[in-house]
Order: sequence, then C-alpha cells, then structure tokens
Amino acid sequence: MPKITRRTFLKITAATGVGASVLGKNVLFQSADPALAESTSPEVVKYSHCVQCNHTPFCGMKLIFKDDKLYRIEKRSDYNNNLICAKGVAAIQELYDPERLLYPMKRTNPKGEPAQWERISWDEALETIAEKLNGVKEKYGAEKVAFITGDPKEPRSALMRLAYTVHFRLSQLRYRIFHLFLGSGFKLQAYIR
Amino acid sequence: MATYGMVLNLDHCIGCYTCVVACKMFYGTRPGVDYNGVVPVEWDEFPNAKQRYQLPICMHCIDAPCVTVCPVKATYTSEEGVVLMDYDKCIGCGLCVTACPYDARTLVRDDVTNFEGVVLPHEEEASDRLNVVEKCTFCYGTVKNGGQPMCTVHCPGVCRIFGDVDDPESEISKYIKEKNAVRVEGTHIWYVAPADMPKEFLPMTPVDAAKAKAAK
Repeated sequence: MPKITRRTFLKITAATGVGASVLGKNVLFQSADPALAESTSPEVVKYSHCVQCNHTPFCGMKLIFKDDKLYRIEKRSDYNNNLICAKGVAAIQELYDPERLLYPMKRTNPKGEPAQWERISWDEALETIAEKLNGVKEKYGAEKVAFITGDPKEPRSALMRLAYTVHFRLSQLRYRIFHLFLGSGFKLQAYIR
Repeated sequence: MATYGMVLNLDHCIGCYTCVVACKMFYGTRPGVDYNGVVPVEWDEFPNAKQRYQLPICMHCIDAPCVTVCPVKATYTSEEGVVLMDYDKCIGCGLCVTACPYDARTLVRDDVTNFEGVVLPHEEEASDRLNVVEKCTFCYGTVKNGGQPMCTVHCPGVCRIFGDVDDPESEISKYIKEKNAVRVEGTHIWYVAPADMPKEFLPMTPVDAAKAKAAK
C-alpha cells in the first residue's frame, strides 16, 4: 500500500467528499502542532536548560521530540527561570545546522594561507592537544598557557575543565576573574596567566 | 460562544523579537514569511527622544476584506472571530494580500528553507506548502486544545494577553478592565500604549489602515 500522508489524505477526502463533513472546516487544525502532524509516533517531552547565551541564567527548556527528532522548544513552566528568549526558542536551528562542526578537524596548511582542514579521529585530537599542552607545561610551566574563547560561548565549560586539568590550583584562582569578566560583559578569558 | 481576542501592551514591549521567533519556530515558516512582527518607532528629539515598538499582527477583522475578496473561499472567519486559511483550497492568486489593510498576509512563492536544501524537523509541514497565502491563525489549533498562542506563551514582557473576551471572568477581560485597554474598532485586537505615544504609531482601524496603505 502506498504511503498516505496526512496531506494527501486530505486531498483524497476533499476530492471524494468522504470525511469532509466529519472533519468540517477546520481540517488543517486538527493537530495542536502543525509540524510533524502526520506522524503517529508519540511525543516525548524532556526537560533541560538553555545554553544559548552566557551559561549564567539557565533558563528552563521544555523539549518536545517526535521520531527521535527535536521539533519544538517551549519555555519550562514551574521552573525558577521560566522565561525563554528568541535565542532559546530558535535553538533547534543551531542543533540541526548543516554546517555545525561535529568532528575534530585538523589544519593541513600553515597559518596565513586560506585554511584547509581534514577530519581526524577523537583519539588523535585528544592526543595532539595533550601532547602540546604537556609540552608547554614541562618546558615553560603551566601558568604560561592561556585558555580563551570568543563569542561562541558553548565551549566555555569544557575549556574551564581543561584549564583545571592543566593546573588545578592556578585555574581555581583565575575562576573568580572569569566571573568578573562575565559580569562586566567582557569576552571570556578563562586563562592561566 | 467564545470570541477570541488579544491585548497588545505596547508599554511593556522591549522589542526582543521572541514573539516573532516563537511563531516562526512553531510553524516552521520559510524565510520572509512572518505572521507577526516588531517595528521600532521613534519620536521626539534628543534629549527627549523616545523609542517603542509596534507589534504588527493579523488583527482578525470582524468584516475582513481578505475574506470578502477570496474567489475560492479559502479564507474564512471561524465562529470565534478568527480569520483562518484553508491551504487546500487556496489557489495563490494573492488578492487577499492586496486587500489586507495591515499587510498581515504573505504569498509563499519561493521554495526555500532556512538552511539551503535542508528541511529541519520543525519545518516539515510548512515546506509542503507553496503558492498559498499564509497568515496568523491566533494558533487556532493550540487554542482549541486549551493552549495559548505561541507569541503569548513566550513573550518575556507579558505584552500579549489572549483569551475569550465574551467571558467576563477570563484573564483577558479582567486585563482589559484593569488597564483600560482600547479596542481597535472592527478587529479582535485591544491595545495598551504609553500615554505619549503619537497616534500615528498606534494600531489603526481597518478603514484607517486601508487609507494609509493606499496613500503609500
């Protein structure tokens, strides 16, 4: 049997007159949610908080999945920060952005030229980073490493954990400065001297 | 019988565009197809310059010109006073777009999505539709199931109050009474505006809006 989507079903019923009187005028509004309305699989609701801006307000998010796809984000009621802004509502666009970086990439040509990249494995990426960081740490000392992220702020927490790993005590000291920067609207500079 | 209405509190609006984005994400509309909007307006001179935001949206006119002109009856007024579209009937002639005094309708001409060649999960329904006119529906399906329109749900400034204006006990009826909200004559929209906001920036009646559109 060919797959009958909800839309073609409507067309058939409209053409034959069958069902039109049952469904009435509001055939297009039978489902509360317009997207994925023809899917019969159940909605799965999960809860989280938003990470679209500074990782500080932690606005609540209600995430609605269907067929393992996130297709709706709403604000989370009964939660301390239950407001959500335009960025939070639009987070699906970031999640499913076709140009989103999903794998570690390694630069294949020297800096100064137009960049060329190749995909490498996670193991290779972690080994390269550890090797270089440990090299600097042994040669010059851990406090000579700077950890900086710019405006895509998502790597901040990961970067802070990395800074802890390289030198726990110093990075803890700088953590206070990190929050000072956040408060005064500077770009994040989570660094060890 | 319920009659749906919406209050726009222009005094509370901070111009954050959450209403627009929430609507676009809910309906998965194509680029350039917006059911509502935010328009910054300015008046007076420095040092007393003021800025506020207009909130253009389908006003759900009582005698809607778009319903009158539609040759195939694809657009109709529901029993709650909401102007709705039947996409299966729409032939995409665009008469209603011309007739609408508020420019609240968009004819979908281009088969484009927000990311080129990719249909995101929330866009699946809207990417089916082409050469039809789309507009604000007061989120009729959601409201019928006991919900609220998406712009109302997500507005951080609580500028938008939606509900049944026939019921004197409803939130919107109480709000209208408390804030002395002004009804835009001939529509289902009420508004509360800052006292000093010039009249030309306030929501207009369909007749005035049609005149303003003709003068453009």
